[in-house]
Amino acid sequence: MASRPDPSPCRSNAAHPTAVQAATGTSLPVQPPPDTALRVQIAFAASRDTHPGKWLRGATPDDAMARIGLAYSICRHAQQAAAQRAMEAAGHASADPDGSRTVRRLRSEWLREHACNLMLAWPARLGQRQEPSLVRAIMQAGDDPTAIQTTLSEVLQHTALGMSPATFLALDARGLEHWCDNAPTPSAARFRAWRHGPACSSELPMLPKLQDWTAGSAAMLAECMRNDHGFCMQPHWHGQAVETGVWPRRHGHPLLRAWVQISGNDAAARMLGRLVELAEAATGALQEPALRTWTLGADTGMAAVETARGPLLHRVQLRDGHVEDYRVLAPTEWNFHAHGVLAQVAGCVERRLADTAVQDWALALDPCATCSVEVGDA
Amino acid sequence: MCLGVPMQVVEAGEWVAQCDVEGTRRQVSLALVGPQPAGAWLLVLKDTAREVLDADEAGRISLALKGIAAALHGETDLSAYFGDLGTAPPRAPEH
Repeated sequence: MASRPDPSPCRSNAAHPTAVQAATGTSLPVQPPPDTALRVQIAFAASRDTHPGKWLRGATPDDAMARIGLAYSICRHAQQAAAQRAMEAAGHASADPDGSRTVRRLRSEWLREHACNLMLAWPARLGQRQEPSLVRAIMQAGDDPTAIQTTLSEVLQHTALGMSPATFLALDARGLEHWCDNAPTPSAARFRAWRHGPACSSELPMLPKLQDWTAGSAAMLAECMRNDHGFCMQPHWHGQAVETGVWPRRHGHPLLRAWVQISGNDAAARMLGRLVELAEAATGALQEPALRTWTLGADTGMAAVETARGPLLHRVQLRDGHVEDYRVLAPTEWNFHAHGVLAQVAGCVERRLADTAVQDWALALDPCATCSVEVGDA
Repeated sequence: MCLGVPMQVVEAGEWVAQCDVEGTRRQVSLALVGPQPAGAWLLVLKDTAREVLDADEAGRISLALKGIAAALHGETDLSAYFGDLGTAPPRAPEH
């Protein structure tokens, strides 16, 4: 295990003079570059800071797991999987009765969230009719991989792609453009609408893939989570705001590389990444969600579970068999960092396009809670 | 952070329902769960019903969310909110 890291890396080395501001309450000021004449405020419908340490401290590991499942009910499988593995890494002997079922449930949650973003939130954003059939199909298939693959293949073909998922995944750049221009589906039309959008791409660094995290980086994250409460609301990677989620996972896929050639590293590229992952799941090609654990010391463990939106981290310290300290870092917090993607977009887009561009990017980053974005003059 | 909120259907519709949460009315999309009768409990995220809940589960989730709020306001005895398994009595923090 890596030696105890210097806690000073927990403080951000944000490039701009304005210090990183932890999200407090429900509002988060985004910090565009100092020469930008824009002010961007993101408001979440409910407080992001649920302070799990306050309502888990003193609980047994099993009770903590139950509380987490009730509190974080929408993504309970990912949250409980992260909690269980963190507890195990901390030395609590609990057996996952069916590890393979956990992975299947994680996969089902992942696909459901992608489908909700693509087929509910995106049409709503554009004032179009929502298309719930894909989400319902995934929910009805449960965690049965065969049922998911079969239903995804059929519903994706008919509602989103207009072709088989395998055919879609094999498109080259010209084929992707042709699909965009000609496929008789509302999804293709939405990509058409967002293609060549406001000339503003993301140049933000990406959070490394979970599989590639070193023990040292994980230890540093754990120290930051423990020592700086604000870190879990405004995380950074070695001092940098970064993007996580589908883009870092899939930016190298041929279809996404093709899209970048066509339209740039834009909001639509993130939507395409979700569609690619759904299509891969329909062909049985999507990799299993990554799961990592680290034992950080006596009675202290951390676990990370890859979810649709990026890695979900749980860090737990036990004492005498009860929770002493608990931290959760959700993937949305990386993407809605004050100096993150939205700040960058606000800094590069024309004023008259800023409101639309920032709202489109907020959708593309797929926050796990209702948020509204306000763009104004600084 | 994946915080679904239980809401009870007050006025049912085909695609949307008027729901009550803590005395406040919210319009909720039924696109994922289909038409639901008045009195049904829904788990809602971003104004969309994600699941139909039975009353017992709705009650437990609602109480858990109240427990979080209570903890954030400084309460330390949360046993009433979470209905713990009782596998061992909660150890009260020393401070």
